[in-house]
Amino acid sequence: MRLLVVGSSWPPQTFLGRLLRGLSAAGVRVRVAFTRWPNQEWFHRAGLRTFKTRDWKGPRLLRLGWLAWLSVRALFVAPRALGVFWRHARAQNSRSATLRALNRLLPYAGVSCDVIYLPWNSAAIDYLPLFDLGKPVVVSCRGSQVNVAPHNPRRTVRQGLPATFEKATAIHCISDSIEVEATRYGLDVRKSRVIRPGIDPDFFSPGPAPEPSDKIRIITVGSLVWVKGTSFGIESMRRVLDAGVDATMSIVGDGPERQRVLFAIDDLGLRDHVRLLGRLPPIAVRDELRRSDIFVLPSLSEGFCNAAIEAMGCHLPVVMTNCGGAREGVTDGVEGYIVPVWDPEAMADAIIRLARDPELRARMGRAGRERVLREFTVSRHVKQFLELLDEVRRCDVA
Amino acid sequence: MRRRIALVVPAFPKTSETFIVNKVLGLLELGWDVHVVCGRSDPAEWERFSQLPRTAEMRRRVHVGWPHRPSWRAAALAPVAAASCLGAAPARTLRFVGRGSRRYGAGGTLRRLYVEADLVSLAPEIVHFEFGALAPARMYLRDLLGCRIVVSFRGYDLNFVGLDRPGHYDPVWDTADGLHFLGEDLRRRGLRRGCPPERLHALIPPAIDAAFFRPEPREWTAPSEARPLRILSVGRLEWKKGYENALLAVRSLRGEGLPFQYRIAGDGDYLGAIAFARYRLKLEDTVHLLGGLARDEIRREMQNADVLLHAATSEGFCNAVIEAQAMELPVVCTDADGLSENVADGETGFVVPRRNNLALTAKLSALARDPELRRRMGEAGRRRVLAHFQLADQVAAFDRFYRAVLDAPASLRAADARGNAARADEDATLASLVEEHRPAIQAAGGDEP
Repeated sequence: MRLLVVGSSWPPQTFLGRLLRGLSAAGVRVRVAFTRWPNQEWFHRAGLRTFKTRDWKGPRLLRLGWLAWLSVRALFVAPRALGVFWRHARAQNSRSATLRALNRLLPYAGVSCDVIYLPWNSAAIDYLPLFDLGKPVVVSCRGSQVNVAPHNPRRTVRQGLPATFEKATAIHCISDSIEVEATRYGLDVRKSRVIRPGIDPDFFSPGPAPEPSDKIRIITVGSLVWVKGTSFGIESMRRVLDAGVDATMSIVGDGPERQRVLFAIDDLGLRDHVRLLGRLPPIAVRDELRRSDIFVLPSLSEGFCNAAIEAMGCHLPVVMTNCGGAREGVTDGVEGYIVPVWDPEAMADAIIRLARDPELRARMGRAGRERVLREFTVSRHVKQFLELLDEVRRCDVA
Repeated sequence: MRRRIALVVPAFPKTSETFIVNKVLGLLELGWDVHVVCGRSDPAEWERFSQLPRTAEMRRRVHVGWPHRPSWRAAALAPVAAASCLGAAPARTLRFVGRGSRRYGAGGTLRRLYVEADLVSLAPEIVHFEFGALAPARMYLRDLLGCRIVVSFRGYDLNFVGLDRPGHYDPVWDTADGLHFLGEDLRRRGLRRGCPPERLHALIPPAIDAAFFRPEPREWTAPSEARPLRILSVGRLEWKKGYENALLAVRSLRGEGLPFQYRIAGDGDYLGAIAFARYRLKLEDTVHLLGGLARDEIRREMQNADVLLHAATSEGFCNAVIEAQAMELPVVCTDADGLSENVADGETGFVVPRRNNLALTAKLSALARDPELRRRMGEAGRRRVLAHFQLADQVAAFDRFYRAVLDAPASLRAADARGNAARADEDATLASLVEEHRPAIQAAGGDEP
């Protein structure tokens, strides 16, 4: 089977890379569209191939010449596709948007593949005309583009989603919760399939027992964006210390809210207790997890939460907010605790309970890993995804 | 002779920095020879300031720096800039180049001369960096230009800039002749970041136009279904303003069965987060996002509101809160930075700990149920503004401060060196320190007017 992945940027997110590698290993011929050449070895070693497209930048003449070449080529290899793209581009509300749309779409005229996969809703909206090429299309609903963006009056996602749900052959949802949310924008559940992500439990595994410490080591992993609620997590840290628990917190990740996070650390007097580690490669993330006692997720909204699953793989109990799909990975009181969103006090209470009871931590940590092995392995994820692709391929889209 | 002062800002005039325009006009009136040195000046913005005269005399006082980009253009213009400095102030230019080349070499000095060309030609007695963030990289001006340097701290600079670089503001602490803070809280933050306590400083709060923000008579009534409590927030949509806590607070009001409406005036990148919180908290029918509003629309919103809510996590001082008090609107706010000096707790409103939405709810609820209290606090608010936050008083305070800066002895480096040494716990005698810092002290001595 030949799969064309459209709308990913280089490098792809860790979980997407995991899925693509798994599919390739299972015999799918995967081509991924990028605007630059992949410069990391794993990509080529996994047998993944690149479908090169161009950004809409550089000298104007060069750009227009490139468009002219693409159009002529399309006229010969796929005149029907050219018509579809052209109509879509003409409908844009400015000339520069028209040119951008053509630059985005024309490379796909006459492309040969069995299934087109759009890993993001935003990509599905941008590449809507690809749905009319007579090939089956799968779209993933992963998180904020369904849970958060539609509520922003300045974004147009809300208007764009229904057409993609209607035209797609199948919709992949990473949790029940996001499937429910997507039905608000016209998703027909008969078309959708919930496949929760998975991790490699051999990689995210408990290490040798960490050096004993009288400090409780708390960790959170995620980009520093408002939707992750990092500063609320830091607030709960203040309460944990005020309750007399000696604890430190490591924050792995970087992003636009770095300044907010630094301010919260400083303003709450936590300079000696909270470390901001920045973005780390997976192996360093794992080592940090292995050195920690409790994983916290103060998010306001999540499609699912891979970071929590990775932590569970390393025997960590999890304290997370009740933020959509993430809680489908954790049962309150079994692998960790679920607390309300925007409630640092409740989060602190849960952390304190775990901090004071090593036996409880160990029990929940073990339960977490068992659950990962049972439900969230990457091999299960790839297998289910393959089944979906197989079904879709047999669909008669024309 | 009129004494010359140069105010350094990123852009002039600017609607969000009206206070600079007001200050320039006020100082001119008091007889200072005020100049503004900025990076941009947008003609469209000039049109928005009715108070700013569109005369050649006024425009002559605004100096837009030479272009930095593209770099080839800057390089081509550098000799022109240097020549114009030489023409305007030959002695100052030579001093700048002479002292500069000893410190930074020829290339470094020419680069600095290009960046500071306007200041070199103006040769002011005081250079005032109106925003602390502009200052640390340019403190060499004191020595190279032989002027006094004043730096303002308004909140953002101390709360955020260089937070992960200890010592970021050391050049300012070591060199500035005078420091201006909006309030005591900001000064404390400055001290925490290394500001020597003995340094000459002034606490001058912002001021507003109380004649423009003058309320019309209104009726204070207990909220009902027909006439819900009208809560208002005014401020850019950014995380610092704590809108999530505000929304959590008003949601609890609903739990108490208090009918209310919450209007938020402002625009910004945090809109997505606020809209999401409004949705998650099921407040879409009672919370209205009004977008950015003009000054007279803000006044109308304040006239129609019952209480101003300001849940900020970080805030310099907040002009909107002063304006609300001028409009006789009681305020419920947090203790972020200057807010606790802005609002008199229990008198013109309530000040509660930041990040504590339950406390916000309690105070909102108390005000909602007691229209008489709202009236009393509102009136006290206007009295407070008239007493403390008037434009004329602010300009007079700057006038006094600048005079104090010019009158202070200039040999500040020596005092500083001692301060630094004490902080570093070094056991050094004064004599050896003076020896060590002789060039600097001589330089400072040479500045005596």
